Amino acid sequence: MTLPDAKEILVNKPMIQNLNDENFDKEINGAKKPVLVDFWMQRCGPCLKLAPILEKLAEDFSEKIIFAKVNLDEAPATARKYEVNMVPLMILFDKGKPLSGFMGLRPEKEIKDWLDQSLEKNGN
Amino acid sequence: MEIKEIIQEYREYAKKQGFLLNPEQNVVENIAKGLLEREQKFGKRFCPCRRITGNKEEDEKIICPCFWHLQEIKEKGKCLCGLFVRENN
Repeated sequence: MTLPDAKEILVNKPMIQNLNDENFDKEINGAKKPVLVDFWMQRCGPCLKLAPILEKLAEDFSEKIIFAKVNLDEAPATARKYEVNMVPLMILFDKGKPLSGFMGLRPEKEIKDWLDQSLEKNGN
Repeated sequence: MEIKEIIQEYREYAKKQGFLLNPEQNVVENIAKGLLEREQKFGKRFCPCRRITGNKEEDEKIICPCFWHLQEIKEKGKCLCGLFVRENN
């Protein structure tokens, strides 16, 4: 599997929002749909491998879920608040509250099933 | 210290411990860059997949090879960041 360049992860990705300490609460609390937040770091191998999978899922779930990324180095307060001590970590938020999450690299199908189940459980 | 030296150091460590460095060279190089950057910035080679908390005792645990790597390799076939992998993984 090719490892994408970390610099390419955040450019030209209209389906994925980039959040940091400045905008995190506003975007998460004000979202009209559930938000999947990918906590990542630039030198984390599994994070870089997960990036293209999430880009694909962001298109597949565009009507149901907002996809966002948080670089831990740019969001220390958010990382502390949600006790994100390792990455990659996914947290699915709805109405500002965490619904579900998982840690580490997973295959696309597994993430898709988890998202479907989480939405169904939440009544979305 | 350069990336190549860091990689060689961890390759030797892995061999001694009975596991391997990840065969994906680009993954290993990216992690080694992260370790070097953190060493230059914070003085220690903190794992680039873990947050530096500011708690000295906790942060000691995330210096590569981290506190959890042996257990992770045993249970999952690789450490969190994917630097070390089990043979036949």
